[in-house]
Amino acid sequence: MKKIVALVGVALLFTAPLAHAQLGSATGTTTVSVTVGAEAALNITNSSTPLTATGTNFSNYTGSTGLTYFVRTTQSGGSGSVTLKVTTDFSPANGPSVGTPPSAGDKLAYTCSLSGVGTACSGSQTSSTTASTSVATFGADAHTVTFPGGDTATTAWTLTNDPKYKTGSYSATVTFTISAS
Amino acid sequence: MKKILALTALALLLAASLALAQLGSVGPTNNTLQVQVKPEASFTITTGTTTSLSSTGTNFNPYTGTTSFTYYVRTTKSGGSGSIQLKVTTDFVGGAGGTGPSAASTTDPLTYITTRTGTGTAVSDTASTTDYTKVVDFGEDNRSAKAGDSGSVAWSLVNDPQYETDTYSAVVTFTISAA
Repeated sequence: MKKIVALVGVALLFTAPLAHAQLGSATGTTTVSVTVGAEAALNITNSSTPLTATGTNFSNYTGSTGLTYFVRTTQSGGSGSVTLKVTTDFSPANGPSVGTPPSAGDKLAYTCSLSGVGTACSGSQTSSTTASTSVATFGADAHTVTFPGGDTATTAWTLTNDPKYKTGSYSATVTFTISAS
Repeated sequence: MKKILALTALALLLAASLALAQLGSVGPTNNTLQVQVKPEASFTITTGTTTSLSSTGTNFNPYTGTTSFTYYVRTTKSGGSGSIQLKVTTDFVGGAGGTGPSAASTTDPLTYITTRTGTGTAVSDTASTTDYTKVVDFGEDNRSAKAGDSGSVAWSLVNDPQYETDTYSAVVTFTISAA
């Protein structure tokens, strides 16, 4: 007797899942890095500075310019400064002049005061149309004391009241520059 | 006696054959495969191991920089949730010992604005050294693309003149979760 025995076997071969693409992880880190360097900035508080004289006896014209400054100098060996220069002399002609005054000794002078970091210029300074002159100096590791408001400085102007000036309104431009290293 | 033995042997042989035939069945056999899809989440930073912050000009503009990432997420269809969060796990340290920014500062904070393309809601905040803060929030049934969704945090750090000149580094840890 022939017995046909059919053995049906089903074998399922389950292979391990193909290597699962790793799409990342539950955490990640990054190093946030910043290089803090020397910087300096200033704002002029009053864009126009009127100079006026009291009385009628040729007392000098006076006025003041305020500025706010921010500074950071290098920790070791750093320095900085605030300077000014008369970049446009008084006009129109026949009045005061920084570059070519009508009389010897006529000048636009100023004194400095600071409220904050730095050293103010010493004594009376004579402004110039050809060179920058000092308002404040900063040494190493100098930092603005007041932030975000900024430290403050004032230049108090004195302009000779020379009778040779013709009557009229005269204007000059003074440029302030701050630097830090 | 010999005939009885022969018949017995034959019977045994047939019985064995019948027994073997009972080890399987003939015809189609069904097998059910099952897979349980669960919430999952993973994350990769794509802008390298370092994010550099820099400032434009010399007038104390804030330091800014961007960390970008790719994320993969699947939250539970009903009632699921998840998030990407970050924490400043190591506060800023100056390489030359300078005194500078701190992510723990309340006056000069390290803030971030999040953008993302894909699933989830972007969250912008101030980074913290004590708590994880959210970057992206996931609701129920949030699923990213197979290739991943992308996002970024745009950092902003106050440029305080009081910082000493130096290079400072902090470590920010991101985590992603899904339920």
